[in-house]
Amino acid sequence: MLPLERRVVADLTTATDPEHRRAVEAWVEGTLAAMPDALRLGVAAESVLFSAWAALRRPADLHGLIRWLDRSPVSLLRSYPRLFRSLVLFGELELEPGGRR
Amino acid sequence: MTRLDTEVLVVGSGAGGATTAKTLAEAGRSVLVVEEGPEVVAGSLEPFSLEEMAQTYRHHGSSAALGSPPIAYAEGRCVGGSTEVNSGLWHRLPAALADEWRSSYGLEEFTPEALDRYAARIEALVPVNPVPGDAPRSSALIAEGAEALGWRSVEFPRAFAYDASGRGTKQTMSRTMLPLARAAGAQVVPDTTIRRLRIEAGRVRGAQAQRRHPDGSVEDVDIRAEHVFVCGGAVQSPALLQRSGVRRGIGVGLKMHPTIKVAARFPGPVDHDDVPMHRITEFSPHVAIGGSASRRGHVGLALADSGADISEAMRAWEHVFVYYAAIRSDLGGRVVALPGLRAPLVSYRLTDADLSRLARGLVLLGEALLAAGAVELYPSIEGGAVVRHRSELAQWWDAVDRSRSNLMTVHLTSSIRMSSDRTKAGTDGYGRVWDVAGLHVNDASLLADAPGVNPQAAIMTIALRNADHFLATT
Repeated sequence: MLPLERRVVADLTTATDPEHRRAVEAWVEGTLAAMPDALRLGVAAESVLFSAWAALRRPADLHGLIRWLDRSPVSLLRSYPRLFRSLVLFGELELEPGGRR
Repeated sequence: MTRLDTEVLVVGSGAGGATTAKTLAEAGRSVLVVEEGPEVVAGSLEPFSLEEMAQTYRHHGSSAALGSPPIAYAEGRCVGGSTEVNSGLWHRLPAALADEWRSSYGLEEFTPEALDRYAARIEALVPVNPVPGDAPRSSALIAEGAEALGWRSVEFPRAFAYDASGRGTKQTMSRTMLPLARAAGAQVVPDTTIRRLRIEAGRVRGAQAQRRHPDGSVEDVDIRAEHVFVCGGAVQSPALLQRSGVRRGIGVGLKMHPTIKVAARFPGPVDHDDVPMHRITEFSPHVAIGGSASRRGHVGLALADSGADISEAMRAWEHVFVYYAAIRSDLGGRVVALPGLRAPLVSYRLTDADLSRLARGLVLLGEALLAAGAVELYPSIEGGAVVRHRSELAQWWDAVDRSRSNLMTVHLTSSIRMSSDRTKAGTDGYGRVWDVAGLHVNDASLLADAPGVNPQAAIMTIALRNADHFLATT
């Protein structure tokens, strides 16, 4: 995962148990790595672009970035946080220690 | 480099490949089946779990066709192919479609009666049964909703065998056709990717492959074969042919069943261990209504699609189940193998009429679920209203648009097709690739259209027909 992607995943993960958080991050990382190349390249390109956007802001504002993407009228931009939110949610629910699945 | 020699190379071990391999091996042909994915011990993975997705789904289940809107899709990638990961629902090809395809594509031996004979031979080897006793609650709810509205619904049989206690075992290819193929002498090689086919002077001669070993090493494999059956499914088969320089009529006309979902919350708990076997057929074949895998993660994802606060619904997630409406679409898509990329680019085009059909399906699904007793419906539409009463369903008509709809599918077909008219398809009427002697396709790619039902039975039926024809003529 690229640095911004790791930060987004950490930000969206609600689990407090460190082991659970690590398992969710590993699941998201594995899924991104397994994506078809063209889709992964598209996500990576967005990550680089948004990293630059976030770096230009002082202080760097991850929440602001996610909020801006969520509210964008462009569905391609909205799909970025939606992808990570879906992966994190699915991972959190399926990897919850002792959770009924 | 390892060299393997065989008379027939079968690429892919799913519904089409396994049927081909079994039929040819039992006729005494030398058969080598090459499967890109791993061999997984049948029943060793929890159905629809993360582990199953990681081991047996291509791209861990995270593929999508580009388009407006994009459509997520899943394919199996293991010995047995998608039959290892699907619901096992069994529908013979509807007679009306067989008639339509026969006349449109000039297909011989394609009458409903002829196809029924092949289907019966398949069903003698792959047990197809209804659930013994009462259907699970999640499935019965579909029938109850339909009945309350005066709509037709059907409990479809599945490729399942049941023991005396009623415990069911899915009859996947790794449990049925592949053991028969192996018993007849076929060799099945997993973890091996066909890079390209070797085609010389208008004839296929074999393939170049790479085999992955458990220690992580990769070995080049040179396969010499007189005949090659490409059976990798509607995405991988056209991609392999294109990588091998075969492009005419290949990868165009991809079809799927675009599907929109609703997470329905009921007053009491619903089972979550199986996929519903009831379908509302009142609007078939253009709109089909049924139920999906609904583990806790699936329920959470489906609830979250609307963007509404799902915390209360998730606290009672065992009262929630995921249902869908699937359509047959007007246009289609493309599969393109691009140089330098391992996975092909898949795109799909929906018309405005398709979106209207999806909206109609969503509203009909909502009506059925409310009639079945659901108290809250969450649509898979960004910002889509959570519905509690029938009068609120009208909002969904305008909510299904290109920018907010989250669509998916698990049925992909028709990316090569077969026809006696070479201008209409990539193969002749028996799956033989035009102008390349010895090269065949025998999988979902050959279906003329998405059939509006689970395609596994149609794929196996057509594969058996084509394999029989090969034996009679070669």
